[in-house]
Amino acid sequence: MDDRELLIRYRDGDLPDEELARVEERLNSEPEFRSHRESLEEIATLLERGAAGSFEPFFAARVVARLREADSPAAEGMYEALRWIFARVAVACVVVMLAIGAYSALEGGYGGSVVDSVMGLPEATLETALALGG
Amino acid sequence: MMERPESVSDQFLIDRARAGDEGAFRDLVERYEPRVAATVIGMLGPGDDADDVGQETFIRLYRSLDRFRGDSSLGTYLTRIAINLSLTALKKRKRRISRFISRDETERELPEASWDPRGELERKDDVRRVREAVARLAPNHRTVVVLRMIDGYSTREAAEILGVPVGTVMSRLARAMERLEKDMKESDDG
Repeated sequence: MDDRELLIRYRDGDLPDEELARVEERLNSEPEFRSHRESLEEIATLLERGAAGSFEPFFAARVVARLREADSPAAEGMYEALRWIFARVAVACVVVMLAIGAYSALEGGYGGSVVDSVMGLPEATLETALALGG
Repeated sequence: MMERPESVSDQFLIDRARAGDEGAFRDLVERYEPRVAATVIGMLGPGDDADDVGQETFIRLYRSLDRFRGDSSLGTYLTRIAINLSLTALKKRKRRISRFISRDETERELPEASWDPRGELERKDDVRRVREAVARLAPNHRTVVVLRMIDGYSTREAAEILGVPVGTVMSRLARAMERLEKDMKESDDG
């Protein structure tokens, strides 16, 4: 255990008698150790003094208003409407993608693998690159 | 609305809130606002981010009222939510700062000390400096400083909230306090 851990436990009143006596002895005889203790106390006091006790005024009212807003039928209605639209758009996108993939695979003339064919990717060779580049 | 005395138990208010009593939930918010504010503002500094995380903490509580079994006290339960949400907010803030905000603005995140006619300016400045030093700590060190030194939890309680061993909390706290001491001395010298 290092000096700071020891001093924190000393401050907490969490040391057994033997260690407590040793710490007190060191506090009397070692200026550096005593200085660490004073700094610890100083910082602890400043932290306590600076602790916030509340948010901005009317905090509880803001929380309740936010809950009401989230639970309001309008918010739920909007959520449901967006969900309805998204589900149909997603299904339509998947159908279009499958159709394009099937067309590309059946049309042929694309890259060597099945994935390349479905994705409609041309075979990547130096010749095709030059042809694509004009 | 019926005024509820302070002596009304958390469990009573929780049961009423579960049954849809908005006033009971509001009473819970008012009762625990100071504790949540100390945690969240300790983690994030004052401002809109902290207010938003504070609100979200209570909204999460409301949504989980049916699942809250009372294994830990309501205060500890709320602190755990507040710490997790604050850590998420810190990550978001870090990403936002690294993308859009200049170093100058990051240094303005914490409030300036205000003029004080009673001559406590120097003391307020010390509070401001220590807050700034806390804001420079790594998130896991900042968390233990907030729980132990601001919220007043014991090392064991902080370990339970964070789900880490007691020794980890103690060593993080010792390193954090060492860092704060150095920062404060450096700003004294500079």
